[in-house]
Amino acid sequence: MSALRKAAAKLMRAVLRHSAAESHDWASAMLRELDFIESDWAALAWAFGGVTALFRRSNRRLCGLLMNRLGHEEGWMNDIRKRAVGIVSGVGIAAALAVCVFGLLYLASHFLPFADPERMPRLAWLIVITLPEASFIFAAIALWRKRRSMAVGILLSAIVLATHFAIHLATHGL
Amino acid sequence: MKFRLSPQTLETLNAFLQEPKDWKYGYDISRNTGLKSGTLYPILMRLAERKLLETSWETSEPGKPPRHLYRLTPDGLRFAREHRLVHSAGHTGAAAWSRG
Repeated sequence: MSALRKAAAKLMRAVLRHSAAESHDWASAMLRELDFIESDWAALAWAFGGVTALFRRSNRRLCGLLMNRLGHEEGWMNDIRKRAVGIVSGVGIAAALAVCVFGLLYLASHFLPFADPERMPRLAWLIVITLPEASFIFAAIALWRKRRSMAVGILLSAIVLATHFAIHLATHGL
Repeated sequence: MKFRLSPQTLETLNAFLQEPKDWKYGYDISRNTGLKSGTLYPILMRLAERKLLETSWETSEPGKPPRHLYRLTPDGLRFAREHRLVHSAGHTGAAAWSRG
């Protein structure tokens, strides 16, 4: 066996040793074909071609895995983005609800004398906290199944309002 | 699944179509098509991955390592015949094929 053929066989054997399990058959196949190539130079060229083929295969698999992973990460990012948008819209809805409720209370205090907070401060406070909180909870329940992240945003607003009210009570009293 | 049909792939498919039922050796295909191993084997690998090509190990004498054999599957034969017609009708070799 000439030095060139020996080198070709050595190269193919090294590739076979280091090839991934799924490429093993292909590397063995190319190594075996070496014995049927008449010219030594052609055998060496065949071995180099084999290395290229297996390198391209492993490269393609690596790229496939990488793209798959990137795709998963992109999906995960999209999911996070959707949730964040849902929560922010929930907070927006809660703020709009609160504005509506406080607006109605403000109008009521102007047009209905018995609803004047100056006369009944405790009742006024109860209404101020109960109405928005109740509307938040109803909205969150209604949205919980279909738009959970939005419902979470509304609930968060309810918690913030309740906490604010509790702190206000603790520091200023009714 | 997209499958890019390069002129080399068409050449390989045509080589299989000459005697479609016979098993072929890699080196013989390489000689018939004039494709180097670095071009031929990635094509064979892709065809096998897409179940268009079946592979087998030749049962040889004891002590001698077996040779790898290749033959088109029925799907592969259908595919090769379809695309040979497309190719000979004057279309470019970079046609795309969707499976499944």
